[in-house]
Amino acid sequence: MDDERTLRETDVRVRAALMPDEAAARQVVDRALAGDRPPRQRARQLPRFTWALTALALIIVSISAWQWRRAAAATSPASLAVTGRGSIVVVEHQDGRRWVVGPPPERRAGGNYVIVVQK
Amino acid sequence: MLPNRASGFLADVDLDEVARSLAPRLIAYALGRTGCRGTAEDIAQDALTALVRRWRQAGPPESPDAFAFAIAKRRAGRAVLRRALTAPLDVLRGVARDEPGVDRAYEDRADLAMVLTALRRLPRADREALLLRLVGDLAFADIAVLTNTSPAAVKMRISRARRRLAASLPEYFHGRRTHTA
Repeated sequence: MDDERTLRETDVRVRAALMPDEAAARQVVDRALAGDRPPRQRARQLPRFTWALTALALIIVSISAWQWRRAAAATSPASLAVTGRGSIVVVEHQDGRRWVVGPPPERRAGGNYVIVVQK
Repeated sequence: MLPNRASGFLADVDLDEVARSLAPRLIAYALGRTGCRGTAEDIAQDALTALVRRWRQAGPPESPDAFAFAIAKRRAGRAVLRRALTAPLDVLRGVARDEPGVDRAYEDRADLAMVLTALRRLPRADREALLLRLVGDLAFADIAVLTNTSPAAVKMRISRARRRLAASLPEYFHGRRTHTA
């Protein structure tokens, strides 16, 4: 019972705190019926300064990203040299390591063997 | 000729009444969402302007309350987001000092500040449902449509939010009194 009363009192308190005064509500209705846009909204739109700052930041970021990509492309030469010698491919790294890739060696044809057994 | 809904005369009378009934509820709802009275009035006016336009062009919507509150809900969400995005820029430009936050702007209106603080402690979905019910006076079914949930879930949310709010309001009030005494 008390619980419900407390809840109702809270409801009343919240309503009382949030409800606007009559004049403000009337003003809003009159403007809406006249088809006006909220005046404060126009004033609160982002000013030129903010737009300019945002645009400048975007330009700086774009240029930085472009420069970084260019620099990265220029400073990273081909680290592997691939050369072909016949059916063998040789891959050489800048630090001197080398990999040779080729077909597996052909198996030798079987020979004839003579087994000598001592009597 | 007697005026009827189609003639426009009666429709405008109805519109006037509906708008007058909606305005304070919309402002209160938006104030609860944004915490700023100026923004709340803008949101309410936006929602009412859209309702007026719709009413005059295509007749009254099925539920003018739900129509207006759907717009107010969207606008309030955008306003909160916009403020969160522009707050750092405003601080840089020193605008924040001219446009004080809720707590400072309503220092003299302690109850509003307390209510807003208590509302902010609620989970977003609970707060949304509670505001739509408590100050928006919307039906559970309308709130369910607006919040994409079922009426049963809305009832549960509102009940939970009311209990939490009731528990947190006096607690905060007590804390404030003992602090300032």
